[in-house]
Amino acid sequence: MGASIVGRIALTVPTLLLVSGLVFSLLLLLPGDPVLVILGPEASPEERQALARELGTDQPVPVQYLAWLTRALQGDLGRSPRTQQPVVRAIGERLPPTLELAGLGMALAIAGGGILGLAAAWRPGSWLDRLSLAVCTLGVAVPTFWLGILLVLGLSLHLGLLPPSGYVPPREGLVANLRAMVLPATTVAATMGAVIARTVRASVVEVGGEMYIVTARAKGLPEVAVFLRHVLRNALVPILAIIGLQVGRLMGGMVITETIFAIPGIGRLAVDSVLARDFLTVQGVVLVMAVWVLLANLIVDVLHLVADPRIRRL
Amino acid sequence: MRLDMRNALIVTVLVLGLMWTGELSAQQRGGTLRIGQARSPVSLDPHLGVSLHEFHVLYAIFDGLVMYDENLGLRPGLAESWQRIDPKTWVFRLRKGVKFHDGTDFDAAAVKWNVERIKNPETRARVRDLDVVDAVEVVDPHTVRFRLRTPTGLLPTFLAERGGLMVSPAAVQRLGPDHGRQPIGTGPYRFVEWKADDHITLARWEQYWDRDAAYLDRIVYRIIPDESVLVTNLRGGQVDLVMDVPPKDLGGLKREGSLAVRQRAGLGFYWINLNSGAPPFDKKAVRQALALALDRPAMLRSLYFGAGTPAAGPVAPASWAFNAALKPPGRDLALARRKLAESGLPNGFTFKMLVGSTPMYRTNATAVQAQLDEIGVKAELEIAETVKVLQQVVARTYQASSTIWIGLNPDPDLVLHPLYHSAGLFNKDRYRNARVDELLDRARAADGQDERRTLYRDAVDLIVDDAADLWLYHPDVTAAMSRNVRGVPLSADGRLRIRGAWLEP
Repeated sequence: MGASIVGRIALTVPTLLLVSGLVFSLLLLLPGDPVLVILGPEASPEERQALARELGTDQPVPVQYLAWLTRALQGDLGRSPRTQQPVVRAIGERLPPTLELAGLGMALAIAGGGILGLAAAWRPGSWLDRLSLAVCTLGVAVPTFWLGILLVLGLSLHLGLLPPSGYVPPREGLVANLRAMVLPATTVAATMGAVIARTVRASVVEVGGEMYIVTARAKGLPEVAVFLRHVLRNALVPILAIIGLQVGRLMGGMVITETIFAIPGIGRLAVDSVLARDFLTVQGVVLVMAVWVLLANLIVDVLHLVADPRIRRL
Repeated sequence: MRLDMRNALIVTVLVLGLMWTGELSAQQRGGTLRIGQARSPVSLDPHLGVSLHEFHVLYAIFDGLVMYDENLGLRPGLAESWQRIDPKTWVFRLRKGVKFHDGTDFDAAAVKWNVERIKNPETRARVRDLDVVDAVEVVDPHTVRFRLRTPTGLLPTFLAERGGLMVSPAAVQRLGPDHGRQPIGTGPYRFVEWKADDHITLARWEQYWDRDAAYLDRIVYRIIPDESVLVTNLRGGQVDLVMDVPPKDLGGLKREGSLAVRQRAGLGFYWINLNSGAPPFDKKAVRQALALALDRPAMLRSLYFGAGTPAAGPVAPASWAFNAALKPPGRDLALARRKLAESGLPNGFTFKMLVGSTPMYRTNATAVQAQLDEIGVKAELEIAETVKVLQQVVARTYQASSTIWIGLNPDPDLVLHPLYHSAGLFNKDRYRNARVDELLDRARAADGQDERRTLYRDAVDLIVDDAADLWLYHPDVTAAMSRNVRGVPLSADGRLRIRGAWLEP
């Protein structure tokens, strides 16, 4: 098991290289010159050339990439030519809110999706199952931005229960921090939770019909033991896979949630930087996001190994 | 009897004086003003940015050598007075005893350093107005002399814009590129903290030279990118003041009545920028046909909730150079078709319109597209990101583009010269009219506003007759604030002038 985990960790290095190389070339294919954003339309061609030389954007793509990579390996992600801020600092400032939002959203989705899925799987076809299906369909169908705005208008403006937007760092008060996080975390969790709930239901119902469950019951095992030891453990494999996929998707949805709730996170930085052709910042953000997805997948893989002994032999 | 008269006069003066000080003492010190805005500044270095909304913060931290008053007239700032010695020489006398927030002195050497910083290509300043300055000379610690390349009466105006906002030389030398994120000026409020994409905090500068300008303890600018959520924060009392209220919310906020909503005619305009340097818009009759096919009042009503004025040309009714005799062309499809026929295109034509991804650019473009369709002119919309639009407009590979000219133009020169002078910054290889060039040059060199007004009106008449572009409407400038926010003027250029603001307890 140990060797298999080490192998997976080793694989992340070439993956990161591939991702960063790919993003770098894709960015340079985008129309729109970063030099123009910085100098504006009023600059003369000579001024633009001078800045392009300084930024290195007049060099061929592989040369630019290698130069970036060499510096990145030394921990230097450069300084954004647009905001004049070091990229490492720009990301460092915005990472904690995003990680907190993602963590809380995930936790909420897993808890909510799990309960909803199990409730539905308990008696397939019952009213509880149908109710769960209705809630999940809504969860998947309602667009994030609409749900977010509705939550703000309903819970914050009309009922005055929670702050409408903004981020409070935990060191300025944990309660204030959590209060500010309730609405955005719910928004993030809605779609994810619905998908998890459906997978939990399908997986549990399927496993519940297997012959070995019938055998376990025939042996006279109590229902709780049958469920925990046999049903849940076997049903967990596809559920973990789905959760792993959702973690990757989470980053995409983050942009919208962060914008609606005015959370100063990575998602907004990513969009602003792409729009302004701030390549150095985009590269840094992509690197962080890639690490995030790889890490999440690694954790899911390890959990798989724990849950399913058969995988360990592969 | 005479004595009584004199006594009465003295008493009156005293009473008036008391009333006046009473008025002053009504202004309370203290409190935190929370301002909400959708967009975050990119940099708070006044010489490096271009965005209008950055002024909301910049005017709190920095003083101009010259300042605008509420009605956009010029008034003394860090310079107490100025004088034009000859057509190419100006002398500015500086305020004494002014300190930057880092404790260093503001003096003539600092002015010279600032102007040279802007003019140094390495700085990459976006301030081009000061290209006209040849040299700045320190006459004595509180007097500077500007020597110009070409004569202009506009130097004080240029020094009321970004180029006149004075940064601390010591701070820039110490902080290097970090100065844009921890700016040091001489303004009524000093920089405290900038949490990216979240908030910017300023505190009163206790040593400020004008005691009647800094009443608040703190100002917090909160960045709330979603407009609906921004307005919700205002309604819920989480922020006290919002500039640039979304037009769709103006009516509702006014009806509710719990907030003070202000609105006045603005200087900017939504427009369709035509590339008159290339076919088909190199023909005057074609451009005129398009201008006649538009229903501006209808667009203003349906797209902008009526919060503006239909545009007759690039100079807005809010400007001192506006000519009230100039009316927006009414919609006349028959005449538009005749103009098309006159230019050899009786059956219309097809052109590409570049549209930035901002929602208003899109809705404007769609409305223009529908209206032009009625005279057989087909606009193909090409929606693109701002950077791509910019690239094509600069390279002149575009035909038309839907965009906005934001009210950065208290002085008509600041819109007419860049857009319609053949050497204008944004006009190279585009619109060209030798007579317009001559009028704009003369206006730039002239001294008095009356003389300049006549010259600008003549120039605008020509530009409008040429239908150089399609000006749609001038959006109003707006602000909404809690009822206890006082002393915040709303000027036609839409910039927040926070000095003098105070909170009623």
